[in-house]
Amino acid sequence: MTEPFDWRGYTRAAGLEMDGDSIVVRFQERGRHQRVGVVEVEDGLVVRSIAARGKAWREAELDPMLLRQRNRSLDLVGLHVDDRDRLVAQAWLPALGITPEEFAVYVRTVAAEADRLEFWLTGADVE
Amino acid sequence: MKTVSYDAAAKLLDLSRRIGSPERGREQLEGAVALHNILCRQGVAYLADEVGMGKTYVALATVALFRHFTPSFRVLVIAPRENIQRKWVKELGNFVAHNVRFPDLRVKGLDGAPVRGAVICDGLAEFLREVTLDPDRDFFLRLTSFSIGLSIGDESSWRHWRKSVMQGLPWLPKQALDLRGAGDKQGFKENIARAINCAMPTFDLVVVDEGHNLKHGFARPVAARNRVLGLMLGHADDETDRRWFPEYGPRARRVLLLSATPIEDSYRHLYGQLDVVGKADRFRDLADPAAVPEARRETAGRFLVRRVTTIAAGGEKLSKNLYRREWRRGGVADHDVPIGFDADARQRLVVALVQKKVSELLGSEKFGAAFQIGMLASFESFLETAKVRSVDDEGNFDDAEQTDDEGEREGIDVGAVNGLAASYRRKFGAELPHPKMDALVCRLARAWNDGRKALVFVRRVASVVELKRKLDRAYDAWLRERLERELPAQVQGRLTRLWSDYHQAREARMQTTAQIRDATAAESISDTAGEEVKDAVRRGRRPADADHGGTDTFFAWFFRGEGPKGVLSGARLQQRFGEAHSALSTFFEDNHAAWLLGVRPGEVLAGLAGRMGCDQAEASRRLGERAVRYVSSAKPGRGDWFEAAQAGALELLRERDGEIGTRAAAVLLHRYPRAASAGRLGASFDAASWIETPTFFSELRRRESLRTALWPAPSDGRGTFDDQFREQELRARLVAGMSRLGHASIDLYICLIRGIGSLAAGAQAEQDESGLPQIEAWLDELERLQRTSVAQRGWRAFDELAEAARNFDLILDVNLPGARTVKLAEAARKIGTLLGKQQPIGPMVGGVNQTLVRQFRMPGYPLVLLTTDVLQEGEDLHTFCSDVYHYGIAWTPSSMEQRTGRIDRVRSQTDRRLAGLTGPVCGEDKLQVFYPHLQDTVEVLQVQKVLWRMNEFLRLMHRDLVIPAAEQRKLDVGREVVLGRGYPEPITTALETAFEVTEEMRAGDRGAAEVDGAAGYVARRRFEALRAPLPGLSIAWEEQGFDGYLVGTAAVGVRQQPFFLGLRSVGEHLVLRCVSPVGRIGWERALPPDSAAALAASESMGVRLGAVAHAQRRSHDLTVEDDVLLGAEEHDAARAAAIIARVVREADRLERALLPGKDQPLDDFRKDLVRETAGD
Repeated sequence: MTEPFDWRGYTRAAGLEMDGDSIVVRFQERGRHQRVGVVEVEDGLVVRSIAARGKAWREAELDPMLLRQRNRSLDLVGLHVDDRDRLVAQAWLPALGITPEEFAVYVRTVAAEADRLEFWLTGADVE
Repeated sequence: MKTVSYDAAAKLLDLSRRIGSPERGREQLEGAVALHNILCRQGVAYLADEVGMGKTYVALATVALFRHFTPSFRVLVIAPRENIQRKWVKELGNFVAHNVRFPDLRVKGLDGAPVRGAVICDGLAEFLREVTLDPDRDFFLRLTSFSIGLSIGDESSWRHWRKSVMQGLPWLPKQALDLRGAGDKQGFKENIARAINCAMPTFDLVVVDEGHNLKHGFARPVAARNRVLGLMLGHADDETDRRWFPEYGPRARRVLLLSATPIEDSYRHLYGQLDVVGKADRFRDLADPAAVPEARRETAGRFLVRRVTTIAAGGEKLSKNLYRREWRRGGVADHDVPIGFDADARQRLVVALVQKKVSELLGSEKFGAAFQIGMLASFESFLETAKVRSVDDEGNFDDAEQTDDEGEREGIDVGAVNGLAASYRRKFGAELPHPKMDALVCRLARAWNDGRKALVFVRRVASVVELKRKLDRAYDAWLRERLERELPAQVQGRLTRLWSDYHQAREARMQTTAQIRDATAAESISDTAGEEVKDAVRRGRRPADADHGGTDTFFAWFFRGEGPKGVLSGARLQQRFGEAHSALSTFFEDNHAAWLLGVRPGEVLAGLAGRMGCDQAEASRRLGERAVRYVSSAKPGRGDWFEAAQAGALELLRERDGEIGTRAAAVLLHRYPRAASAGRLGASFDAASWIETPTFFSELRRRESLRTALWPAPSDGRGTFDDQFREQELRARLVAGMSRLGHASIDLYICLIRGIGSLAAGAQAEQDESGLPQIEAWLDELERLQRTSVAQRGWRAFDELAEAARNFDLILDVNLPGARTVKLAEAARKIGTLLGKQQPIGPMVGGVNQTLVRQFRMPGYPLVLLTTDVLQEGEDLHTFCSDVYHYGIAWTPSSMEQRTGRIDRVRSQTDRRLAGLTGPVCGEDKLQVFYPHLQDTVEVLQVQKVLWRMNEFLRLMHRDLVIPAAEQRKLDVGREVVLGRGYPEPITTALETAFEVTEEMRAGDRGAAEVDGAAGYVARRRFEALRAPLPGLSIAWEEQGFDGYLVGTAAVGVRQQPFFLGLRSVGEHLVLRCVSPVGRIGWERALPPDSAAALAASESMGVRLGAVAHAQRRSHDLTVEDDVLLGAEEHDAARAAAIIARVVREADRLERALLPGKDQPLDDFRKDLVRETAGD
């Protein structure tokens, strides 16, 4: 990327809620929420949200390989365990020509999948 | 959510395709629009169209309308049982492929398949697992899964359930499914339902097929199944502990119920169903006994739609009640004449004795002169009945849920009848005569002579076996008489001995079966049991399932499987048709070269030489050279030579200009696809003589009338030459298969044995090398049959083949829907499978035998299908059957209607027959509904009771409402005798629905302009445009073979990386997905540290890894995949290039790291890619 991508401006333009460096997505139907971070990488952006900490997904006896099986059927979002042992949902998006609405699609998709996993594994609404 | 107009729906969907009736298609679509709009307004809708009107398709169309405008629309379908659950998924594929007009990437993908994945769940545990794994798919459950099996005293089933639920919801407190409370089955089951509710997403639409099964509602006391379903959907419930189930709540935004029989005899049954699915609040007066019937009907009319079907016949439009003829007086021989047995004193005495016993039982204090309708064993047979073992036992009757009383499930008269039967057997050495069963067998046995199919429903499970045994004996008697009359005199001595052998084999088999049954029951194998028995018990407790013919009938023993040893049996003769070295191997082939050249066998070489512009010697030489390359067998026989000669000739013709060249190429491609090779022989053979071989089909062409009847040429208007040739070949395979394997095989056998003159094992016909005399003999016989009437000579081969030919399209649609598109060899194999293992009488009990079902949808065997309620719903059996027998009567009008409905559907035999009438309709023309029963027994009371209720059901659902009596599943004998209502007359005025589609239901906010018919085409154009050079990438694209996908290989430096692109939609947006295979690697935990580190590094970069696991999880296929939104079109190429570059780069990097030294090309993954892009 030649110049920084103004994802905060896109967040505001898309009507998403900011909290510090995070975007907070709220799911009205079940009264839950999810926190989403944005990282700039060489060829675009990575939108990322934590679904569960290591202790939580290990207690639930989750086999990480299942995440790769699940990845095959997911749209716009992928799952993996990061180097800090956290179960993370994330999406890569190219910065080229992206609109605030498209940006919001990625953010909401990542948040929804992370929140779904969090509830499945913990029954809680922490992340 | 916005409502839709008919015009908008019609722009997206065409429901007339495949049913061939624009009027019916319009009616279905109108129904879908109405349901969509009712669901938008009311949150619940009920489709109550009569049986056979295509409710599944209307429901699928409703879903499509929602999903087209709301792509994320979530759907859960609950089917009554497994066969129907699978049928839904099959129909979904058919519907999307044929009835959705264009790929909108929401309902229909670019490949013509459903965009959303479909998941068939075999139980609630699997549903829980799948729904947590990926909720954005269409889920298909079955109602039987909601009957959670738990045994008191056996904790293992409880533990199993708790483990399954806890795996799906690891955080669920153990107290929620507390085993210490074992004994509270209901509470445990309900908590399972609440737990699953917590894991479920909210479905935008829940479809409940055959919704009437829920008619008893949610409130206790009611079947646990209804409670479990209601709680899973989030029924408002004060008993739910929110500490354990924190997010318990409604999970069905809308509910669509389907049933042709939504009520029995009260509108409160509608309330019960709405209550289970949590939608009853706004319709409380349905259950209010104080509400006037008109008000309740009006309430139902707010959400319920019912259309009635009619058949146009003899200038009239007949509704169901008018085109059906009911045999209400119990007889089966003459309409409305009861079964008579006055002439037989012993039968009369037996019936009187049994009635006396039954009367004594009914008079006892325990039963209070009442019994469960349809659950008296003596009504069906007097054969000894096994004792019901426990509450969880299925019972002796179908629909065991009718009563929980163990005695009633067993049949309250079983003990008495068993005692009488045993005594009679001791005294007279025979089974008790049963006039009703005997009368039915006598009627059904007409089928061997008139070919009229019969569907027989019984209640008592054992009746299937008993009826079949009696019918088998009747069939044997008929077959013996035929063979003795028609086979030549010189084989009669041998034939007599064969019958004796057969009787011995049957006796031995019965003993073996009895030993197996005993050994299975005892869980041990006796030392004295024969090896066959031991082996059978070891291999799953029943003899091997391959077609060994069996001993049910002489037909099974002699004409099927291996056949008896040392004799030219029907089975042995049948095998000869398939043996390359046999003289009969070319019998049912076609001489395609002769056909294309327009000459007869004997003139082919001359015709070929003429086309090639050379003399016959030269043509013969070149033919030999070509043909030998098609001989692949090491020891070629007649069939191999013939086929090679055909392929060689077609290859030569393919090189000619003009139509014949094109046609020869098509025939070669479809019929002889095996590529020519150097051949095993290395030299030419006398192909010129083989090319002149006459066959059944080459000779049939010369008999115009017979050909038109049995093998009509496809009309020129039907597609391309390829399509027409494929149809011609499929028709030929059908004729050949039916001639060899079913009822027609008896005629063929008799005909050929007349020519051979012997039943000796190796006997052959004395004839010339061509085989022509045998072919001519068979064609002569078919022509003779064509000239004479069925009444004169019985229902024979010609009739079976001609009926199949007349209804070829129908047979393919219902039994072989894929045959028109798969390779010809595969289609031929499917036809062979369909026609294999035929039996004249088909038994169906316990589960659905799909082979038998499909064969019943054909002319020929099985002519009689005996079944319990396993075939009550879901399976279509209407195509060649117009007679249904309610031998064991069901206790509800809905069950009776469902059963009759199996043969009363669109494109039924009755439909075709009546539509073809020019004169007035007579009773015999109608669909026949039999209620066999005996007069002067208490059975007559139950039949009358059910018939009254059936009339009441009709009046409630149509105009002319009467106030019905309360529902009674029990029959009070004293009351019925005193009331003496007698038989109700059938309703004879045309039915008019009381729940029509109104203008308001039809009206919608969205017009046709809101359906963007071009969106799919635009998307496809944008997608195809990605084949153009992409910035920074060097890609070699595959040209074909992957419908709806782009497959290519990208250069990564000096290495190569295959990948594919697919296009789908997420919400309103197009999403381009790129997948690149890495290769097969070991399971994660077995990977060396550097490999695991390589994977982690990729993922930390935001790269998505995918895995397809292999057996025992020892390895998996690793992929790199990612997707990107396609927004403004000008960015397509750049975004596609970015995603492809990212994916192939990472895939190649991982291949180098995990599979050092490898650089796998696309061909290594081709099979997987074909499978994946085909949606497997």
